[in-house]
Amino acid sequence: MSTIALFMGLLLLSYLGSLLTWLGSGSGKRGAGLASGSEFLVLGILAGPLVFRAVTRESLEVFDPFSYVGVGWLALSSGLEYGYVGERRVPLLRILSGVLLTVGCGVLVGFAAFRAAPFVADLSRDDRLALAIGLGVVCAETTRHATQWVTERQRAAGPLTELLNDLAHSDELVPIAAVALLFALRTPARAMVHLPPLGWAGATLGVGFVLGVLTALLLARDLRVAESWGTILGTSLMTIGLAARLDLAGVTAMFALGATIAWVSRHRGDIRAMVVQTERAVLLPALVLAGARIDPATIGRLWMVIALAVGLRILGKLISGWLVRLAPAARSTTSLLGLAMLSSGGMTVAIGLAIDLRFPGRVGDTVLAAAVAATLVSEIVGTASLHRALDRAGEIPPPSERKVATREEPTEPQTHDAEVPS
Amino acid sequence: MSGGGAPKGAATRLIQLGVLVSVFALVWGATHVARDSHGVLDTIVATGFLLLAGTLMSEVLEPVGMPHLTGYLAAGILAGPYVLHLIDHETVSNLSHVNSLALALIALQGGAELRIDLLKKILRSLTLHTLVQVFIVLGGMTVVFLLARPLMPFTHGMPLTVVIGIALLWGTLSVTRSPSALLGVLSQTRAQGPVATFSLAFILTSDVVVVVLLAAVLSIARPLIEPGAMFSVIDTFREVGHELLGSIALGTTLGLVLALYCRFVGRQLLLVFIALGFGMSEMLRYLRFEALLTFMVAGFVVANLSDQGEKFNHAIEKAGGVVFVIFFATAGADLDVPLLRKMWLVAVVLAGSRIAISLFAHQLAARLSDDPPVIKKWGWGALLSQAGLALGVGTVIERQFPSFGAPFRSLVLATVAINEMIGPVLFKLALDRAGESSAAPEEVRGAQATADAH
Repeated sequence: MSTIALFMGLLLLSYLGSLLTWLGSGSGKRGAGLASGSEFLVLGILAGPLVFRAVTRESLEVFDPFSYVGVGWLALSSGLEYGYVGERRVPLLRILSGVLLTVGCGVLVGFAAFRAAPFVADLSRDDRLALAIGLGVVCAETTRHATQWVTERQRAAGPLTELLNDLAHSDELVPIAAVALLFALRTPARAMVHLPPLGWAGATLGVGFVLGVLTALLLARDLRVAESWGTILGTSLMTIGLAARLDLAGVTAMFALGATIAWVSRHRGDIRAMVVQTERAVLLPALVLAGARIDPATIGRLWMVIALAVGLRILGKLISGWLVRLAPAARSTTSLLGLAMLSSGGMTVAIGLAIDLRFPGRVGDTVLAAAVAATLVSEIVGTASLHRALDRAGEIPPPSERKVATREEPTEPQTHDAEVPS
Repeated sequence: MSGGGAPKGAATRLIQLGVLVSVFALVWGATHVARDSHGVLDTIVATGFLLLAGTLMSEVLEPVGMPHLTGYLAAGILAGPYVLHLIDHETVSNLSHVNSLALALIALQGGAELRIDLLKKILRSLTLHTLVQVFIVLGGMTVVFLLARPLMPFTHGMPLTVVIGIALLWGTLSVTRSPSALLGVLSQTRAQGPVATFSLAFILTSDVVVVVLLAAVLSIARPLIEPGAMFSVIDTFREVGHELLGSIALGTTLGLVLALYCRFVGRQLLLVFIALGFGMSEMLRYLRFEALLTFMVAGFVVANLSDQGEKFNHAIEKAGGVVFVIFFATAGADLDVPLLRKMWLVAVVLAGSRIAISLFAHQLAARLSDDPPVIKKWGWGALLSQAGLALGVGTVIERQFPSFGAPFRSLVLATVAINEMIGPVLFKLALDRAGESSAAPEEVRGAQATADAH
């Protein structure tokens, strides 16, 4: 397939993504399609070397810049939304809970993968460590998209909905921070200065923080949407490029950029609205590219480690669910609440893709395949379980009331073309 | 490209200057921490950097009356491979892919700005100006080139007939103007009035004229340069006819499709523009159609044959705001400063002569067509810029005549560099003085309005 044809295909997907967002916003839902966009992952898998081989790894490498930018853009959006559900701040205790539960799940998967990998593949200690951290990272979080998707589609509301939303909006910090450390563990090949891993991890955050402050300064006076795009795009591309040039984690730097803007700028809500509306247009091509990169030839017998990681993720989330049920808001629901926290999606795949770009070969491909597998499993199990958990808690209104609610409560505007007064 | 909005105070300018310095320092630091070049990643950094630095430089230079476009160019020159070397040659070459998107947007916007009713009003004047400019600039610059021959070592030892052929090609190249610079300045100043309308119509028309003129001059110059060369005038014009008619037909169809899309969907025009800029440009190259003309006709059709012109223009302005900065900043980074330093004398002579001859031709045409005083006085503003089209013609000539192509193209690069830097400044000055730009002082605009009424 020619590069230009592939590019036009990705553009078409991007167009489709934004159209789905638009259609979804019109009907009162966050978006059409599946919660994690798994249908696009499957499309990529079908096109890739696993099934039809319509695209090769070489032809996909032409799109590496788009992958860097797409992954970074999703992280920016995530950073802007971190610790917030809409305009409401997530309470600190819930942020801490979300972080600790995710750390637990990630450590469980990572530790098991580190111990199991030597039984199926001959890997160096460094590669084993990278693989273990990578698998822990992509098997740790619960995506905020799935909770929002169910919440907005089913019009769910209540203490459990709020709790699950808060946890899902808090836990991304863990994989984002871990991926910075993972990238920093390998001294950047092109670096002219020597720093310890923690120093490079700090530099990753520093790049995002400095550019975040500069962005906030530039947008401090007033926010004209048309002009602000130039600033946000400029700082974002610089952050992604600088981080990648230094072999640092662009996702972490971009998350730091978004979080800094959200923290420092008084226009957080407007900037968030601008970026979030583009999220799906970026996500869908990224999912297809990720799916198309899955290559069983390089993964080999490591598929067993992937299966173990996904299995342990389910166990980890079940344990997390039991712990969450200690909270009063979650007592009235099913004992399998952990399955409702199983959903992973765009951010997980994006991180998997970032790791694959940084560690090309067996380690990267295995981590990406695990991210994709976790997402597909969660699409089947997680979304339905979340629906059941909220239903059990009596937080999903019957269909007849939902229709009324849709008509009475228009959702927030998805486009943001008008100038925002200072 | 921004325009309008509340005036920005000294504090805002200081912040912008501070951020500009920080951004340069950050990229400079990064190039020293990781020195090795890494194509793809450098392109991402460079895109973001040029976008940010170009925007900030334009804002910082705004208070001294510089057009934004000059700010973008300045940021590119400063960061480019010849000055601070924050962006290398390979990255500049990678970034030039954005050119096809920028040129598509420029042509669409240019076409959409042209209105049939306005064109009808200035048709006589436009025709006269085009004819006078073509013949006087072509003839004048051919003579200047011949006279400046001692300054051009590559012509030494050539027979006179060959030099006359090369001089004719130079004359043709001098007729080219810059639609991108024109639209860049118009979009920033949001200028409206007789000078803006005249400039827009003239520059876009001259673009089409150059395509035909180049074909004609090539057919005359080739036998002079390569005695005994077989060259079929009929074939040449058949090719040009195919190119022009095909472009107009495809542009009309595209315009109708775009108008329908705006009418019935009207969303995500940015993605549509990207698809047109990259996909359609590729297709037009394959069909050997003129991309600029095709998109210009499409924009013209949307604006004049449907009621979607306003929505369409708004969408292009939004998309162009980002793309134009990268486009012009990349052009700045591509500007060969050492070459300019080496060839400055002959470049200044040729660029200066072109300016003088263009001004003379403008005055003559304005008198012949009895233009309003404001056109007579300030209508020359847009005639001086040269950019992509001139470089494109230079490349065509280089390919057609490899015996002198390389030094000829160097001369083109050096001369275009001068015109590219001073042209937009003078055009903005002309718009400001004519009272047509939003930045023009109130008393100038008022006085001009009164004069127009009389």
